[in-house]
Amino acid sequence: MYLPCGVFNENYRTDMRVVRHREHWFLGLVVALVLLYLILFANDYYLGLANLIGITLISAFGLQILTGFAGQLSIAQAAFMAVGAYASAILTEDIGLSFWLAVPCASLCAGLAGILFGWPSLRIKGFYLIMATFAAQFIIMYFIGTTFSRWTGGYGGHVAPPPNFFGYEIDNERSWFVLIFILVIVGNFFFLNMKRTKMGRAFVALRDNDLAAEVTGLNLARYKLAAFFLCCLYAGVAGALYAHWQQIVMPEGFSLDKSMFYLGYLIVGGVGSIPGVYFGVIIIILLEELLVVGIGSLSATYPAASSYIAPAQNIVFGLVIVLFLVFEPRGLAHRWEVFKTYYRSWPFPYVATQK
Amino acid sequence: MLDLIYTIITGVFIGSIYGLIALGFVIINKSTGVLNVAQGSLVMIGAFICLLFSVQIGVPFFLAVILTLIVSFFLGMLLDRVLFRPMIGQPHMGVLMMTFGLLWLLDGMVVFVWGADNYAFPKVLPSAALFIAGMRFTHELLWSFIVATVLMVALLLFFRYSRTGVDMRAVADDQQAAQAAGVPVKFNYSVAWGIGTVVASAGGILLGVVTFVFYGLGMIGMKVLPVVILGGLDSIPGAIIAGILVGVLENLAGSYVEPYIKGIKEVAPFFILMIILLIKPHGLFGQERIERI
Repeated sequence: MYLPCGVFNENYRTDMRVVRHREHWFLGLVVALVLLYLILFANDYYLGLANLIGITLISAFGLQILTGFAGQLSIAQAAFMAVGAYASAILTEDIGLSFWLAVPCASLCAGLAGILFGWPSLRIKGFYLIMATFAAQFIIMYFIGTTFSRWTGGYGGHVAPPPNFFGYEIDNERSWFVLIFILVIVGNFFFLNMKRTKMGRAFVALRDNDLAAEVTGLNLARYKLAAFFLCCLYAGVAGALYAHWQQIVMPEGFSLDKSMFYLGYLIVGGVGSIPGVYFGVIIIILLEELLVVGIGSLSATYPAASSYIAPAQNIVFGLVIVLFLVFEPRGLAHRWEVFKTYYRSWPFPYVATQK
Repeated sequence: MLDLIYTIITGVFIGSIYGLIALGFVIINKSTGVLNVAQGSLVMIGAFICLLFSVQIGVPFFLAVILTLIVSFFLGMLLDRVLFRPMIGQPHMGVLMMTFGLLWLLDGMVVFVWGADNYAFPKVLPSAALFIAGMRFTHELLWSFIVATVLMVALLLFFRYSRTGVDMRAVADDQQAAQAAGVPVKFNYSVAWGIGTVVASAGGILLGVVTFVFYGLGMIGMKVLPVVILGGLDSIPGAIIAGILVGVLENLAGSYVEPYIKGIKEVAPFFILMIILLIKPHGLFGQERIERI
């Protein structure tokens, strides 16, 4: 971690502080102003887009813990979100629990599902683990779609009522924006110093060399399952938010494509980096939206154009992933680091030792 | 009893196609070390290329098939050259993500060009069903079984006797030693991708003949993943046997468990996958690698 000249770690408290120096204050101010602007002046369209980004961010945080920190690959993130979404929808609509209780319960459900399907990770890794989560995606979605359709409503979907905050109904984009971004900040906060905790260090050791980690006395099974649990907690919260935000849950919203997209966000942003999550999610979702708007504007002249939106998104997304892997496998987060180094050593760039 | 036998036999027929597709996956993995998640998409694109030739351009069906196989060979070589050669030496996750990128790209392109409609190949086989020992089979299923078997045997012979096949086995066994002995490794990578794509296309055409040519072929092709896990990622006989096993188990689940648990037929391969991963992660015939720190 590069710090500008004159910033020292004198004790653990300064080491752990979130805001360290002038640039951090500046960036924080910019982010706060953007958020404030969105809350006060943006219209529903932009707020909706921001809400989608926020929910995706929460889920991507979870995957970053699992994949970026603990090195376990998962392509079932959308299915775990679905568990959270359906659990929350059923708890609020059918059982009558309050939203504020249902969301923690739902995220716990998703976490337990994560432990269940993360179980194979105790014996396998890499491609085999991808396959286990791949199976999890199909099994969970088929159970939700057909086997348990009595409770979940099957492919027709299930209603999720909007939450109520002391008599104030959260059902418009603006109030959702506030709720979602409070949760994004909380979620980010929890994993900000993750790498410094005992668990975080264990995860990194596990990622870098699991055999060596085991030899040094790390309980691999415990930490692997913990990583899956944490990842799915985030996924569960994101899924529940998505359900109540949309006010209806459909199995189509949590397909295999969506799951794979989450890995794509990390690739574009940078695996194992916190700013990387923001870069990946924001840039890809904006790119997709740009395609929707671009092709949508064509459909005024060519009515058939709108049916090309989904495949065009796939093509562009695939291209972005492929190009990133060929030209910048470390993701945008690495570019960001390079930029920061350049900025700090500006008049004398040859002084900086670029990693 | 007859029902059971019938279910098993149709399972074997469908399973032979799975086995063929899995063979393509194993060939690519064995010689280049790339675990190609996009194999299902290659299956789909093969079927659509054949559709392009046979229906949209109007070439006679058998010629169209041959043209498709040639085109897919070069497509595979192109994929290797453009996408996977830069990834040599990159971490496994990157290579895996590359195949995901390929998957999105191919899926998107197919839907972009052909939409989400169902198409059919021109009829070349008699549509009347065939009765063998009181059991009803369609010509398509029977022929695809025969073609899949012939192709599998041809591939086995290719690896056993041809110069390129032997080279490819050498590269798969020890890349550096093979290179030192004068085997053109990069060329072999390209050929492996070419053959893997050809095999996938052949599987796609067979699936297209048995069912339709549609977007979902990619999803059916995805069943190759449970198959290769069951058979072992680097075992050619394993892929064939596991393909047939998965086909049979899926059919059995469809006939005998479906009435009790709805939708089990589609997920059955994934349950098998999960169980295999828990019990014997390296599959029936896979090689277990011992790791050093």
